[in-house]
Amino acid sequence: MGTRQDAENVAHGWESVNVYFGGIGSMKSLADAALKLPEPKGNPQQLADRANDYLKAAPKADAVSVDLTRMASSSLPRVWVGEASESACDVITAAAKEVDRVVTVYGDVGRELDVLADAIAMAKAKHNDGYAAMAGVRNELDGVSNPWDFGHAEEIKAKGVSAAAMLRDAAVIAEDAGRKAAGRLDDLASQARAGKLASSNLTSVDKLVLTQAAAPGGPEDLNAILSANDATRAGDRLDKLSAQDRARVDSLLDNARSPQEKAYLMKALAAGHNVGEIENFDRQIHDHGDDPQWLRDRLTPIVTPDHDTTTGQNVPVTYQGSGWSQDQRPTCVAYSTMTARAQVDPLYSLNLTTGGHPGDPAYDNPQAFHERARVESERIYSEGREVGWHPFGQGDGMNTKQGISVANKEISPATGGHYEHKDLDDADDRRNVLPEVEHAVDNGKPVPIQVRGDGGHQMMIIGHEGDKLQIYNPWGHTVWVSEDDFINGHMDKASDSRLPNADGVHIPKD
Amino acid sequence: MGDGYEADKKGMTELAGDLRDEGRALGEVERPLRGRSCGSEDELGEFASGAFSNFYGAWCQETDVIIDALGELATKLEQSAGTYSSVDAEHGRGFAKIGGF
Repeated sequence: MGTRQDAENVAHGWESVNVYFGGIGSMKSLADAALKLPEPKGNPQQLADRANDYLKAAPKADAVSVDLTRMASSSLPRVWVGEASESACDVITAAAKEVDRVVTVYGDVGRELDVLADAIAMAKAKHNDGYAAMAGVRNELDGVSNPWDFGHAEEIKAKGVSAAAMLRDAAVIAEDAGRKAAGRLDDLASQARAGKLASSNLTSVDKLVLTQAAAPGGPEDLNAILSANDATRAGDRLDKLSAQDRARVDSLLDNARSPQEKAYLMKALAAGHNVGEIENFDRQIHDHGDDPQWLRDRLTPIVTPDHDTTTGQNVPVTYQGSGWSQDQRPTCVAYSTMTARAQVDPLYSLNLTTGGHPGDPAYDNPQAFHERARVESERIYSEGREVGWHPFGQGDGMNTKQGISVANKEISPATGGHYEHKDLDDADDRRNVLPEVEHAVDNGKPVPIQVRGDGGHQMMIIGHEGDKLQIYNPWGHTVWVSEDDFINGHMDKASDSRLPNADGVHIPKD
Repeated sequence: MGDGYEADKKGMTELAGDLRDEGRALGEVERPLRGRSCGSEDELGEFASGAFSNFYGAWCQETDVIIDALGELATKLEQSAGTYSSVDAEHGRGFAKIGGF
């Protein structure tokens, strides 16, 4: 049992003491238990010093970023022409942007550590006050000579309740602040993608340019083509290729017409496709390789348009105006799974959007996309519903077991690991699962979420910024909700008033 | 033309030096951060220490990649400067393709 739970139990115990029936003995036991509660860990002064180091480093890194940005625009030698000049410019620009990210991240982490230092200082002070008060209560209990003096016992109980509340508050403050900081640090760690592309077959220049490539239509930091998980998996797979296959991939990368084309090739590798499939994929996209918008439309269904995380505002998800939407069919599990797979596997996305015939108006049009998505989601739906035993038939939709099954069959091969279900029975369950949810989506692994109320529905958690979660609803939109909405039954903001409660999630496990 | 050749060559060498300087400057920015331990429970508390350690490792790797990439580009520039000749300059020949780019 954790410190917080122990402290809450002790505080609850004090509130429940019956002074008329074994009160002194109970209070002695509770005081002893309270005095064993450990002081919250952490060193506020060291934390503040470390925070200060990061806050001081940020502007110094900014000077480097400014210099590099200037070099990219004005200092390249005139003897570098054409591709060489463009590539060199790409590299310096990518380095400048990455250093700029360092500036932002160091500032953020400095502020985060400062907040944590303050919270731990407050938690320790509360603990020490509570401990001193509880020690006084324990002494007073030892001095009780008349156990029938219920008035005195009530006085001692009141002091004990107050001291135990301080000890409980200390544990809660430390845990809440620590978890919040951990979530933010996890998010910031996942933004360091170049280092995760740890292939010995790529230069640092390659790593930087590949992981900087972003889908257009929103801020680059929110729309990187390669997630942290993609970068790790692509690097691993690259190093495991035979020399022959490696040469084939090198050739595709060398001939790519933009950093985005290269990044989608690496994403295809990360999604588990073999080199032949990736060559075929590149044949389909290469003519448009220098058109990031064309690539984005067909290979990245969901783009985050800005940093605005205002909750409850729907952003449509469309292909050429046709929604990525389940329409009126009972296929929320299947459709949300399909879109999530398309987001992590560019070959799958290309097939859905273009039918494997990009640019051919007979296939690459909104109506044809809509029909292909309907057929594909029906396939996932009907295959998923075969899971389990249904001697008396089954109603519309898919149950938890079937939902897990399709997530493992459709998404896991592209992201690695497997999904496990977690029931969310109350606010504590939801609060406790948040770090795992946020860690998964920060690293590029979508998290299916089931919501209930009057009926049930599945959506997909696809992003995380600060204390907000980005949800894809297969009704055809994305929307932000707060952690508080997720924990306290306000998920209606992502759908409608019939579906307020987060009832379960499928968590990706390594 | 000779002046142009010398200026081009000097420009490449100087830019290479500038890129390495920026890499070194970033390394200097990092030095005080790397001089400390990667974060213990005693300092960060039991809930944030693991996440900080992960963050610390990830961003050390990331800044290493940036510094290495600047070095790699500087090396390309120096290689170009090494092979660039006055004849190239006279004929206005530039480098359209550089190894690895």
